[in-house]
Amino acid sequence: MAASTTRETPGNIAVWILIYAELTEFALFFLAFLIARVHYPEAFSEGPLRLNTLAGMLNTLVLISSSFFVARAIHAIKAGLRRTCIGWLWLTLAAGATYCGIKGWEYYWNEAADITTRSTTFYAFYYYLTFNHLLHVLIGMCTILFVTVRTQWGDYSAEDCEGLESAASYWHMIDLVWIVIFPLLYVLR
Amino acid sequence: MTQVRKQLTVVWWVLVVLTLSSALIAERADPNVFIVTVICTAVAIKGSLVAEWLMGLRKTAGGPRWIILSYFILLPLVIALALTTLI
Repeated sequence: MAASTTRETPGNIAVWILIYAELTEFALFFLAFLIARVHYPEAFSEGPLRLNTLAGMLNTLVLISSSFFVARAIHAIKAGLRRTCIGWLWLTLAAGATYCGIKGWEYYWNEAADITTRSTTFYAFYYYLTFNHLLHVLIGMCTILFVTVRTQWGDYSAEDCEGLESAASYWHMIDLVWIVIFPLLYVLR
Repeated sequence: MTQVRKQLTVVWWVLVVLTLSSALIAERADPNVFIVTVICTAVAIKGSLVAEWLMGLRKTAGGPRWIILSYFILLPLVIALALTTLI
């Protein structure tokens, strides 16, 4: 009975070690952010008020949707629907590109509002966390593009899709980190 | 398979609603213990939903599931405690 309700963790062990390392890295950044908040309460209380909350919220919706798209891609390949899977993977990539576009607009908007890395400690953390996350999105997009091409070549099937699951798990990790970043930087003050 | 698709769609909608409502609450109200608690609870729920349903960990056994779920209990708790003691 237990065998029918449990299955193996999606992806391979290497990607899970990477996911734990990334989550630990970001957790340490979040703790450093909270410690800095104690030392500069005014900067951390006023900082979010000047940020583009709309950009942050739109990027949250885009990343949540991208996680949904990649989950649908995994279910499609497991149902033997390779073409449908490829469609969902391209949608994931489009969502990643949209995220980058919104982030670019946000940084441009900040520049116009005279928000720079040197403005306050809060903005130094804001740029460090968001730019670091943006780099992870770009790495994730390269990974998703790689597995999309391999899926098109027919390298994955319903029975063997560990590589695809690994890329999907990494992409979900990027979404999980943003789920914490958005309220921490944009919402809570 | 159709049922799984429906479940994923429901989870996606719940995530969208939680994101919009927590942002709206924070925009409309001054920060207080209640607002911080609501937003941190939303973070914990959203993280668990992504891990369990979209990542597909809900039917897996062992470490990865519990590590991710613990992460999304401990981290929002630490954030809530840090922020509420400063308010």
